[in-house]
Amino acid sequence: MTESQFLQHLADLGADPARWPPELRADAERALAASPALREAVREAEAFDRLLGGPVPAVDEARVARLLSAVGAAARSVPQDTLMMLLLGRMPRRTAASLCVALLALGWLAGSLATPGGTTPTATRDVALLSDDVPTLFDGDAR
Amino acid sequence: MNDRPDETGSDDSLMARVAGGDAGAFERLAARHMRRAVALAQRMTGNPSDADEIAQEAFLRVWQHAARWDGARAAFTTWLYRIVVNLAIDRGRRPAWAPLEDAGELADAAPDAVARIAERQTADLVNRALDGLPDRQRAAVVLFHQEGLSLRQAAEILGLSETAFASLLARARGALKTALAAGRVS
Repeated sequence: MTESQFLQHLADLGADPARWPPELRADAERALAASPALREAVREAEAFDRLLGGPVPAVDEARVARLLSAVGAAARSVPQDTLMMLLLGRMPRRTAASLCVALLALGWLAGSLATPGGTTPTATRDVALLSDDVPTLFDGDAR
Repeated sequence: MNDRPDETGSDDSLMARVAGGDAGAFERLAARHMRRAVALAQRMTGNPSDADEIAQEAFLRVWQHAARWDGARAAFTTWLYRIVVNLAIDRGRRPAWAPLEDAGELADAAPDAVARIAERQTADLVNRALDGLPDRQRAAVVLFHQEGLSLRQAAEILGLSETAFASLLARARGALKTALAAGRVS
């Protein structure tokens, strides 16, 4: 590894060669051992890395306890995934979409075969609509 | 990021029970990882209240979708961190970092107080520079430099190859160097 290559990795990946990709580490350590200039560059890079590290956010016990309580309560009121969701969730999206379309087509086909002509007889619908027993809800939804 | 086989069970075994609807196992898992999840969310957003919401939502998703987790593909912590990072990114940008002026005046002018002012100014500048990065670059810096994860772990969390993650990190570091140099931080 040349000095310029080392400096490029230093700029890209930070001051600790032990955290670089494994294939670079041995060469980096050799280059570092051989060059005082690179060791000085590493010291400067360490200062930059310390800036990026920043302070650890304060998360006190009371805050954690409050969050755990909230999460526990929420979990008790939220159902887990259903079997159908799990099956679809594990499938690639195209496969899941194809399965849904196939199920819809199958349902439509079954309905068509059960009622020749493919539609609800008009006479039946008329009888229902003309009945005096059809209540109307406040929002206009008839049943 | 390691699985923790102790008296209450490893992450893997707890997750298997959570997938079966065991609320007690879920509470133990949450107790084990909540602090780091909140800290990560706070580092991503710079805002404690957003961090709290993100951490809660992340664990709720763990509960809801526990059966989707596949221990052969990723460690539980990798999965959890991925959820937290994605939620933080989805939340979008808000004016998260409290301006230095809001921090109040220091009570004395002793040398250590002056040093603390300088430290706060530097931290503020770094936070602003981080906040100016694209989301995934900011996530790369948080995961690698602040959380101390390896290249491989951080890459897994962002769904990238190690090479792609190294490239993302290099771009982030370059942008931060430029921003901090413009702000005259050394």
